[in-house]
Amino acid sequence: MSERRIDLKRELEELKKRAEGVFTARRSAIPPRPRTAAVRLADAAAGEETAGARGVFYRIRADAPAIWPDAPAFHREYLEALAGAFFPPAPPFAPLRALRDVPPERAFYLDIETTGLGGAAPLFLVGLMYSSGASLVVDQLFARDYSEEAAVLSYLAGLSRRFDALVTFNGISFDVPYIRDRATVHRIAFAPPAVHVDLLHVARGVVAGRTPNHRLQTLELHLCKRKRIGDIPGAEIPGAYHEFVRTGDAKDVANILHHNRLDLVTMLQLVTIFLSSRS
Amino acid sequence: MEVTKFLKRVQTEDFYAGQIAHKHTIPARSARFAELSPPLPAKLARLLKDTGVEKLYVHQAEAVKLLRGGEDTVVVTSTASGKTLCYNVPVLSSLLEDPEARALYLYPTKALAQDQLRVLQRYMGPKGIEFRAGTYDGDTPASSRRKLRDEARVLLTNPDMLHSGILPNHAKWANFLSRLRYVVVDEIHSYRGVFGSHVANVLRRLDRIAAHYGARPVIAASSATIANPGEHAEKLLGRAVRVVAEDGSPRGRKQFLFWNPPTIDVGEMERRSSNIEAAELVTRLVLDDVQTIAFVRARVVSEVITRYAREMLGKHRSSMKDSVHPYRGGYLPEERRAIEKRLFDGDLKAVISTNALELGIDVGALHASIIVGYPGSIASTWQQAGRAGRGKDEAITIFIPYNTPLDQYLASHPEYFFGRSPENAIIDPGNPHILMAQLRSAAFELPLEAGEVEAAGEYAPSILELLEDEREIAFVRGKYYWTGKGYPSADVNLRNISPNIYTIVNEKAGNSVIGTIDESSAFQQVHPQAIYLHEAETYFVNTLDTEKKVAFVEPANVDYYTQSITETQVKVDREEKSREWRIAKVSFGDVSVTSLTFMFRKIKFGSRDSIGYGKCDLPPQVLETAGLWIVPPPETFAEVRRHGRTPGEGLLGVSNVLREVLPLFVMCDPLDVGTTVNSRSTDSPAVYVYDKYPGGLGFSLKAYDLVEEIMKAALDLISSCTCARGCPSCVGSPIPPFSQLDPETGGKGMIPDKEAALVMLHHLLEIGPYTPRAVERAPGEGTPPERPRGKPLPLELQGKLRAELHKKARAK
Repeated sequence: MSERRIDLKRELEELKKRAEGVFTARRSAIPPRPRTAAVRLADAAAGEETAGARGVFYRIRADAPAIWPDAPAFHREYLEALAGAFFPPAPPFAPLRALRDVPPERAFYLDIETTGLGGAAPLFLVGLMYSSGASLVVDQLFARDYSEEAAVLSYLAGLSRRFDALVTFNGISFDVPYIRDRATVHRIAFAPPAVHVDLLHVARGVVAGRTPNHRLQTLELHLCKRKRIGDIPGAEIPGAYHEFVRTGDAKDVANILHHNRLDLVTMLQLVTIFLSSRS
Repeated sequence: MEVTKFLKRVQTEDFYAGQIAHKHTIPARSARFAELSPPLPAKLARLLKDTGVEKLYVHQAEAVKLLRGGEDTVVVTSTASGKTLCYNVPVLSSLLEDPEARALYLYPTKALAQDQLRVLQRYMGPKGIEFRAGTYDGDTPASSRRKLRDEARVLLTNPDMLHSGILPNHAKWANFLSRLRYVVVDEIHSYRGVFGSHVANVLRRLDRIAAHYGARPVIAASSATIANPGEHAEKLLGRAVRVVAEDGSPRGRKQFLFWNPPTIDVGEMERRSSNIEAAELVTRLVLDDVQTIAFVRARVVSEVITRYAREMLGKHRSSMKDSVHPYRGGYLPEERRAIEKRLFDGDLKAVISTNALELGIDVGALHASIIVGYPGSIASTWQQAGRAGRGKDEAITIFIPYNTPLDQYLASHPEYFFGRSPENAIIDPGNPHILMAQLRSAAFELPLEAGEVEAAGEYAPSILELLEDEREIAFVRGKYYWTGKGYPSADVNLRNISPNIYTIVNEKAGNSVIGTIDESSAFQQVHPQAIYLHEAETYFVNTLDTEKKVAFVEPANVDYYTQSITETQVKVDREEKSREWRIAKVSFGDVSVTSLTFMFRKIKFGSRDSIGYGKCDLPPQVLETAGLWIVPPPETFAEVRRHGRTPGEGLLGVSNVLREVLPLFVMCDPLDVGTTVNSRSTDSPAVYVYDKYPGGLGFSLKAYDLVEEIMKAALDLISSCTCARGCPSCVGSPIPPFSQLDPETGGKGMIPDKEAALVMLHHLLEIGPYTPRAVERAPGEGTPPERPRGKPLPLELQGKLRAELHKKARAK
């Protein structure tokens, strides 16, 4: 048996090498992290176990100021831009018009974190953000292990019915089909709101050629004039999550949740910037 | 056709010189029908009538009844017995009865799926049943894929696509899969060895995903004649199956001829060209308006024979020249479709094909089949023979052996062929290497539950543990989840073929693509200066770009073709372990098998004369794999020599037999392993057994532990063989080493001395003493002078001398 095991190991290395060949382009090397004492999830993120029709998951719900001091200001500007009389006349902005037709608290921002790029890889975090009166709420549905994915999705399906509009970045080709596929696998009926504004599509028309590319973090740098420091790179997220599931050490979970929140806030800010564009 | 008349006339022709070596008649058989109960939906019954099916044959009725009753069934009847109807009827009836029903058809090749779609289309449309069906394979444009997913009720695809395209994306297929009523697995005899073992796992993956969406499809399988259809089906499908083997289809009388080209020299060693004989027969059959298919072993031969036949036809009636066409892999799909259609329509009178047409592509009723050279297995031979004769008409099959020992053995021993049962199909879905690759894919698709893992094979739990150590799997709350990167299905190729496909472009026609060729064949067939034959026309190869994987050719009107010469060497890279086995030493480790195409010969059409040579400057192709080698001690060689036999022949015989017996012990197909004799890495000649897969798949490793049993089986096989001097089922290898070459131009190979192998095996197994039969001389051979005998070399000295020789060889 031991010899066979060694033999298989060698073969596995081969398979992995081949897989690496396909994916290296999207992966940066993960630097070894210093060993520290294990972090408990409750300490990494203050949330609570929440029960839904398909079981329990972990929900982290917070008013935006609790996570980022500048957020209330971003939110105020956003509400003003939505309510303002001005609307940029250029055609690429047109999709945003739908956002003005629904009350701000009936629209939610969505960004998911997954363990793969498609197919059958589970997702584990659904980040939502919406206005609640004058405050901005970040609501993150987190699967503490793979078995909680169904609970997260079923809860999302229920939540999403209460909204009229959805805002995403690349959600038309990524987030929504991904959620739909995963919901199908768990036989959960998921219907996104009728209105879906995909900011990637707006950005392509608006910034056309003025930024090196149309990735969210590029737009963040050039339009929001912010640069992330210490953020966990997207490509490292699946591995970090698997590590958490394996060890229970939540040291990276806070980083992932934060990364997700940054994405959400940037989306909100992009809408503000787009709506205030005079050129 | 009127076979008797044809044969009578042929025997009066100038070229006839007693070629008919044997005539075997397979008597006619009348149709046997059976009533279906319960009857079919009226609409379907009418539709069948409209397409010419009034009643069902017994096997069809039985299969339809079983399948409609929800029983997994395999149909094993002859070629052209109407197997397709056995599954099409229940599927069509389910489509009528349940507007949501779906069916998945799996075929081993894309071409077959496309062909079967055309069969289904006969039942579609306003007059028939309104439903959508389509083929889904690597060629399906992305724009059609979604439509097929959403709308097709019958999807025709292949195991590769199911493995890498459908199952990993099952959520997108949920609608289709949840309504899946039937899965058709056609031609299951082609799922053998490693390929079959992979497919067995892919089918289990399909089963669990379908079950996840609430479906439990009934499986309809079909197989050509093999020795173990029921057992094979159960292993492949992972279910108990009902076997339907009572063939109710009618069959006209069939003549099976052995047509041996006449000898042309006094010593009776040389024979007239088998390729030319084939062309002569094709020509006569075409002139008689008999639609004919000739099967050849190598692509180049299909071109060469077509050329000859066109030339001959041209002399009789120039308008007929175009009624013969080659058919083979490497042609563009549309070109193949066009040939199939012309054949089906009757416009093409003869097709010279490789085994690409052996599988059931429907080309209509052919009346004659010609088998040029033994295809390598009894099962294949019957498949090819079965291509002639449909319904009650009389048909003919003509086997033309080459002038090689193996083919000539068959020619002189027709009873061997007709008395032998076809081969077993062997698979081992639990092979740890295959299972690991498949478990990765399965876990990716849906977490594996503990019960599933136990059912997946004895090694499955340990393999998952190993994957857990490697952080590809996590065991969480009783289930195994995939946590690795990427798409594990993309790491696995179900078939042992190089994914590198070269294109062949015509430089004189705007670089238009005229064909494709896989990498290892490209080196042998489209090296610079080679003559590439396409549709029987000659093209000169200007350059072979191994980076871009393109061969640049231009039309050139020459009267020769080329055959490359490739040398294959096996060498030990690392000995992992070794042990004493009785008096010999057995080792296992990494070996590399290097093939180098180093020169080519120019062969004149017709005369087969070599008219020139050229050098090839190509990099070697290296297979790094695992192998075992057995080094007999010098005493064994001495023993063989003591009986006046040649040890080298004995070793070669043993090596050939090993390929026959090993598959049964290590559960693979004979084509999955290679055996050879070589002395490059050892002190004296050794027999090698290696896995024909990069890195190895455990066959030679398993054989290492079973040397005693395997060698005993080898001895049993040779001892119990009734042949006199060695035959294909014992020491002769039925598998030609270079299957891409025209058998008429290369080395003839040999059937090694059976007695030498017997002496050797007795000595190695320490059974004995064995006294070989006296050396027999063929009549006319005369008695060559006896080998002079001197003082035997002391054994140590023998070893030293050998070591010296090898040192020199290695230094070169």
